[in-house]
Amino acid sequence: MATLPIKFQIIKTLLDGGEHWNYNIVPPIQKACSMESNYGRDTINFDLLELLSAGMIEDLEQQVDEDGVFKKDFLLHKYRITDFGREWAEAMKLSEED
Amino acid sequence: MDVKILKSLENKKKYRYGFMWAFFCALLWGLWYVPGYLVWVAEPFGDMFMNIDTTSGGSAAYVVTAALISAFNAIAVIVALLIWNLYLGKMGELKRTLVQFKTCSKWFFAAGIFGLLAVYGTYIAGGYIGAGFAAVAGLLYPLIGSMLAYFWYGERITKRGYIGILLIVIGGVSIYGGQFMGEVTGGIPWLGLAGGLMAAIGWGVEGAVAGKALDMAEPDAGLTIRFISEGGIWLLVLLPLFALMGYPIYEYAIQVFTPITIMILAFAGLTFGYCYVTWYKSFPLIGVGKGQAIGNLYGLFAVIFIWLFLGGAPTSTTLIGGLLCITGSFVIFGEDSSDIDSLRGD
Repeated sequence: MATLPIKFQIIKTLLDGGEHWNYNIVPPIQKACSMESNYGRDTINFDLLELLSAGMIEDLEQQVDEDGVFKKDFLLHKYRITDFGREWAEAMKLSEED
Repeated sequence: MDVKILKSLENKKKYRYGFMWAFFCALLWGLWYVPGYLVWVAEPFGDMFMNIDTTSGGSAAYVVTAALISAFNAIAVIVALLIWNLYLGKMGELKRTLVQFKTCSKWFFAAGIFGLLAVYGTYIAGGYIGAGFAAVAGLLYPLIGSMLAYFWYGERITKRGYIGILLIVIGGVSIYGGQFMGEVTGGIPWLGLAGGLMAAIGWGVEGAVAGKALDMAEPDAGLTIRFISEGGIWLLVLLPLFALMGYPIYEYAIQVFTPITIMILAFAGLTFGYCYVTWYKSFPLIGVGKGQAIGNLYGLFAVIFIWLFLGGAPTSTTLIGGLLCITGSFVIFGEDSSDIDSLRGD
């Protein structure tokens, strides 16, 4: 999976149709891409925002990160893939198994 | 703080960043016209133009010299962007994106083709008519870009967005008309006009293609691929084609390495490279239509920078057009975005 661009990796994570918090999505990608710094975390988190803007994922719920599990005092987001995101993944021939 | 307020603040921040990127894009883009104009008189391009003019005529001289200038412009930008990616630690993402040609890089390759068309057209228009004309000739590009983005992948444009884009376009036409009347002497400069049209269509289509490509890729890596594509087309296809046609392309290309010319090309690479970085970064945050509309302020900045660095006071139509461009950008900027998550669909 580390050979795929970051946005592909995010979509693949969400292809199971489940609801995922950003603190669950980002760390495995950080590890796979050797981007384990705070800067790497923010870069990947920003890709999530771009996918949201593109309408490929939807933002279901937010919580303030009071305990600092991801980034203290910032918002945590719970995401889910949209139909458009799923169509996009099909067009890109992405699947959970890749 | 309440989650809803934080969420609204987060959206506003995202929107503000998008506009900030687009504004920096306009500033750097406007600045690019200074080295873009100076390079025409730098060695070896000045000599190259005069020699081809003598042997093959003026039109051929503009077309061939602009081709070599555009190729070196692309190379300078590639260098600037590779340094940028290295600094940001994005070489890994660049490699990951590059290898996904079928699904990902092909869009940046397409963006590179239309971007090449725009840059080449700008250099032709700048050389044939003038830097001021070249700067404003492409001002209609957001209209093409936002319409394509709307019809192709349903990017949302509000009524207020349309009003802002319209004001910017009217401003652009005012600047265009004033510069055009001021700079043109003699007959209708068809080649220069064609160059201007290439700029408007090229950048408009490139923006829409880039908007699509950025669904799949990260802007810094994607943009570098777009310029590698442009550089590759110049070096592997178009320059050899001109050489086969008998033009002394390579003879002049090896003469580029003089301190002044390298300095001008480096300045062009930095301003154009980072103007593109900011342009591409704005698209996922505020959309292609708005990113291009704010980026369109480059026309005004270009006229100001050309005036400051190269002389020539702006005309009244330029000033009126500039004010309309700024007003249009603020109409779009003032749009409430706190509830917008996605830029696509209804």
